[in-house]
Amino acid sequence: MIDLTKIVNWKSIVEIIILWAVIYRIFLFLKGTKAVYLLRGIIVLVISLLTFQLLGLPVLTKILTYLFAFFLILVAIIFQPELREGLIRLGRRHIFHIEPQVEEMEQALREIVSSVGVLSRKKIGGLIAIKREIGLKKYIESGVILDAEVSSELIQNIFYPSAPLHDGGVVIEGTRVVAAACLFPLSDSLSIERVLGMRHRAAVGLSEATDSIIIVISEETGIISLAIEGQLTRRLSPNDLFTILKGQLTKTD
Amino acid sequence: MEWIKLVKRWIQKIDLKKAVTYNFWLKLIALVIAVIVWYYVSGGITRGIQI
Repeated sequence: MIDLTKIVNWKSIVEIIILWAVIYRIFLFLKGTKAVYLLRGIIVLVISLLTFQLLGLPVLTKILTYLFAFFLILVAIIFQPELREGLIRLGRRHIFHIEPQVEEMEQALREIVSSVGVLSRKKIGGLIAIKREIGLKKYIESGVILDAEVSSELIQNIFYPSAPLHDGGVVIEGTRVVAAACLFPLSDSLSIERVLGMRHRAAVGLSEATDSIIIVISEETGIISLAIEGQLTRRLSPNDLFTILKGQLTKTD
Repeated sequence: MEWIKLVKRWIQKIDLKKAVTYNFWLKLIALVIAVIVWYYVSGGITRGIQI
């Protein structure tokens, strides 16, 4: 064993902090993508490799080392699109990115609920996904990127029947409307009422695939529904909607 | 200076409790992995990579 006092100094602490930040960012990037299963595989391989080395099993260590090198090449080929996207995002990342505060989030929710109320009264169909922890990258990419501040007028405008972006869903992250006209996965759940259309099925589908909260406004009836974790709650008033959204999205922990 | 204002605003907005508790387990796992990687590479556990 190495004497820790000889190798731990301020430089090593700086190195560990930088490594920590990099690994944490990689985790955040992978969270919510299929690559997370791959990460588990890598962790199992690394733990096995370390265990074999500690136990002094040379043949298994050697085999696993070769397997690991092969695995890394395989990862680079299979996850080439994700790796490319990661590098692009790294280049355009804002250094002073600020997470929205509770007050800002509440203001954004008021704008969303206000737009939902108007759409409901006018019987204009709408589909709005609000991101929580799991990333919605692949759905955002299927639509048109907006990256605009949330406002009631903007959301109403998007869903206006003859507007070019009215088909598909809107994705909201924090206080920003990230994209519109996004395609969401359709649920094949048998529990969804047959009278409900594709919009409701897409809302439930996305809520099954991710932890997002999805608001649906029915085109036929103007009824406001909310999909969370595969469950559709119907006939909500704008006030109910605001209370639920506030409870779900402005947790301070 | 615009960037000094940005840094000040950024520091003021930091909620220490939230910074620690938000994604706590992910942060902890990342820290453990960072320490293991550093220790392994520096030759702590085994011969590791010779630098």
